[in-house]
Amino acid sequence: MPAFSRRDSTLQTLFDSDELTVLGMLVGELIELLSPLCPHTSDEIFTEPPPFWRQDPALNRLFPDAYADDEAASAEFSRYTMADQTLAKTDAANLVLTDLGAAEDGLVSVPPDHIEAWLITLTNLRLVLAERMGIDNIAEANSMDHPTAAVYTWCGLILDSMVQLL
Amino acid sequence: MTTPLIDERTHVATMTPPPWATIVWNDEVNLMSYVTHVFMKYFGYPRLKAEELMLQVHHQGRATVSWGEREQMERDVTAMQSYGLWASLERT
Repeated sequence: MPAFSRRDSTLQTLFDSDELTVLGMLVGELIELLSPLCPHTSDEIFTEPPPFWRQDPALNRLFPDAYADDEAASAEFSRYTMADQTLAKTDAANLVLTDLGAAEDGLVSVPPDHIEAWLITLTNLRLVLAERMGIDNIAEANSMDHPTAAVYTWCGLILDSMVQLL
Repeated sequence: MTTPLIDERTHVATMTPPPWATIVWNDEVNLMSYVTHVFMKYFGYPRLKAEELMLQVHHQGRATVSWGEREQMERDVTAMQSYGLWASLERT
């Protein structure tokens, strides 16, 4: 089981090459999923988010309605927050890629100022994977004999091992 | 220098109820340990309170995690969503 341990203020773990590859690939896919929503200029912060995101359950889960029973207010909220949120999620994912890329012999070191980025990115990954698999409950995910479910569970174990050290 | 005795966000000082609340909803994905961490990290809640709120989300399906003016609640919802929690705001 992969688990982080603390070395001074840095969190470290040992991944085998498959684990490094899979995690890097998933984080890359997350960045790709978000990229159409990324603003290209600061002016775009206040433009309408592209309408397609509403059709994607995973993106809907990453950007849920801020007002449970007020569609117009939710749309307005998305308009003002989504570009910044997309950039923040993308930045966090890129920090994870940086740490994965700097791994030496599978040893991944997460400096203190990257820890939140890891927690957020692993969470975003699990949210997307759960939507893609249509998971209704976690017990179901654990019992499913499916590679995606295995990766989902694995991401959860890494995430939990990091949180336990904080 | 004086230290305010009451956090202005609680609205206790003015005796008027805070008009808006931030709600975190239960989902089957987010880990209990992580949700507790987010409540401690963002709101600065002590572990006991953060765990209490997390358990309320888990068992009752939702919990009110903060109260205040609409603008502040929109900031709190944005923060919760940035952590991947399912959050919304509503009138109290």
